[in-house]
Amino acid sequence: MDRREAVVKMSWMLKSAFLAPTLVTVLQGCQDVVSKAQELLVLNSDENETVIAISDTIIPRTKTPSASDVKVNYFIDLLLKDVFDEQTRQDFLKGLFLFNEDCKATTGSYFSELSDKERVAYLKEVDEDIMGKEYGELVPFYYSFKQLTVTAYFSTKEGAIQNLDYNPVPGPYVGEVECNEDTKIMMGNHM
Amino acid sequence: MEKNKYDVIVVGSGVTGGWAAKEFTEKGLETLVLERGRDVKHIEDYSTTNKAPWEYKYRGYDSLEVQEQYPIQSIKYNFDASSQQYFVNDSEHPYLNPPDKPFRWFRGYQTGGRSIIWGRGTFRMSDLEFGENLRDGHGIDWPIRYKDIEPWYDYVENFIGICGTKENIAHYPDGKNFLPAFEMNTAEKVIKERMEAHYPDRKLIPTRMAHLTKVRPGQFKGRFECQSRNMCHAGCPFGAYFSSNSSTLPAAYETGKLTLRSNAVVESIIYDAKTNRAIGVRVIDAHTLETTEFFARVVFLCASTLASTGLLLNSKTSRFPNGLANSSGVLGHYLMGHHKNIDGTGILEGYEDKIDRGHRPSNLTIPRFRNIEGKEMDFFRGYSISGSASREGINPIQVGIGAEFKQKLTKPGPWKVTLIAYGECLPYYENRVELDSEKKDKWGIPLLNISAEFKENEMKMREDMRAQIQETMEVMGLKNIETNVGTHIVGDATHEMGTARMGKDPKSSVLNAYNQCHDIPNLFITDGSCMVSSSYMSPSFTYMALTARACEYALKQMKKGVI
Repeated sequence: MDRREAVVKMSWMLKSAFLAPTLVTVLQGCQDVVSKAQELLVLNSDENETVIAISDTIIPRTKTPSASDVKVNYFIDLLLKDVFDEQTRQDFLKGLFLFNEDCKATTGSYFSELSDKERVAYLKEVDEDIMGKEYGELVPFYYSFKQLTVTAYFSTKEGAIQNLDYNPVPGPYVGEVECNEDTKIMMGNHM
Repeated sequence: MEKNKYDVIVVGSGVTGGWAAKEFTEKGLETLVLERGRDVKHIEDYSTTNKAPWEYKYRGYDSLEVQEQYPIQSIKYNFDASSQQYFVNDSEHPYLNPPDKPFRWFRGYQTGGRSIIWGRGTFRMSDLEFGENLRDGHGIDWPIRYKDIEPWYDYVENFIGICGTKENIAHYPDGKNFLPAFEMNTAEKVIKERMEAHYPDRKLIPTRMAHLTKVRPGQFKGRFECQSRNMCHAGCPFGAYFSSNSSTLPAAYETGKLTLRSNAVVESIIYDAKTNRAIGVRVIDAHTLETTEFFARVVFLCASTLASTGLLLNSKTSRFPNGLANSSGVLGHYLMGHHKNIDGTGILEGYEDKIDRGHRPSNLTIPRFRNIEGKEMDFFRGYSISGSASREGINPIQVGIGAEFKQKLTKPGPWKVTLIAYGECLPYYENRVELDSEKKDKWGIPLLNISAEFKENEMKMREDMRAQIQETMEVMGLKNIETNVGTHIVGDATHEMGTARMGKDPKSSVLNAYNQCHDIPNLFITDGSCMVSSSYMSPSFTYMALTARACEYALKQMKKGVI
């Protein structure tokens, strides 16, 4: 697989597998809402809150920053504007919308309205269901969202330096060293 | 020195142009190197080399704007925000191809050309390759054999530095002064042992690459040992891999005999019919569009296969109505590339108490094992398989959320093995480049129209490539084996070759055994257009050796007064 195919596949993943055709018109209505928040480019504040809530449930604040501590939501917002094509942007926003609708149908509240504990309980189920399966070219929204969140998180300075063994100039390569439970993934500047 | 007059003009500053510059200037000749792109000075112009991912607005992603402007270049494995400046903007440098025959032309227009972003694999072709056209009747015979090029491989090796291991494989000649190979990691040692125990005819060895793994004092002036950053594509501040910028051009500058002119688009070659000589070149300034003529006793075309060929095609004269030095009619034909995009992955279970240290910029190779003693397969020629093993990095595609998951993400995963096949392409007359009769670039030069495809032989080979990757991974004892067969687009492997091939007979070739045009004795072409067959390996080392060899030959002829 060449580099471009990999990138395209990434966008295909965003095509939500649980997208119900009947909801498409509703969604198109949603997209007309223009964000008033100056720093957000594509997401409206509700969408942003949902992105923050999901990404911080996947990557919460521990001794190291959470996803939103390192502004993963803003990066996703930027990608939606400048990196993903229109179709992918639409798929993402539809996916996000449906994620919330599913959450409301199941729990009675939108995801960002849940307590931390409720968020974990709900997302754990969604995560096990979705990440536990094999997919072809099309994957559910959450699958892509999770991948995007994790990738974005570790591409930030704090996400990388505080969690990984960031070492851009390791010195001469050594083929075999001991590894134990404290060993972290070594990351350099290669993207 | 007379204005605009030099001893030698070299068109292009990439791997071959750099070598021509070094060889001629070191022999005292005033040498003009014409580079169509901007100047990139070693170290000082590697503006991205120390940048971290978070210092780029879109980090590892390409913005829609970049996708639109670099639709071809951005496919390349080493294209990203850190290397973008070393790839051409496709929208500014178009070319044409028939809709049913896509072609990928990866280019870098700057000092050093693609040598800044090359893959660095450094292989010697053997008599298996040099003799193969003659043996199986595809294409014409190479006018040289290994013994002719061997001293030049040695010569180039000593200057550029090649790491590798001596293997004593008859059809895979060892270097004479290899630097130590990059170490193999734990998993690689395991799969090597298993594979070699199963296949007596195959070896899994460290890929021979133009990297400095050990530098003795005084050796490789100004270049240092690899620090395993794996940031080669952004330019190496240690000069640890070979590029024109780090190696040959500094050597040429040191002589005081080099003039490098940037933004110099060579439009055509000036031919003098009376003397039958290429007496100079016409250059268009890339920015001002001003035209200047430069003159020299000898002209070396080192502009890359398609560019050099296009230049000859665009230099028509009454004696050469179909392109300069094209009395044979083969100029532009027999375009070859390598075919790839067949790979496999698998997991080696266990050994998780071991890991490697550093971001190794190299991998491993299984040299060709098909059709060695004769044709044993339902296809001609062969392929190599390269690969590597590494502990899996951050893997979001797994079940889990929260603090525990976050922690788990930072731990090295299992040993993941990747194998990738890389195959030879036969020379076909109908795979060709020509000048488009209508469309021109912004310098008024006709666009190249490139038409090439892989055919039945390559398709049969690809079936075997996939099957052998599968089988090899089974033999290695891997789990979760997956193989993928991707696209087969000519140019995808970068190595375009063969459109001004060498040969003994001037009726069927453009160049003689010394890369000298049969038709015009002071005109040489030493880039990939000279290739008579493609072999299955990175050809850059062969180009460098042929260039140094051609320079010596040209110097002798100049001394004799022949040219």
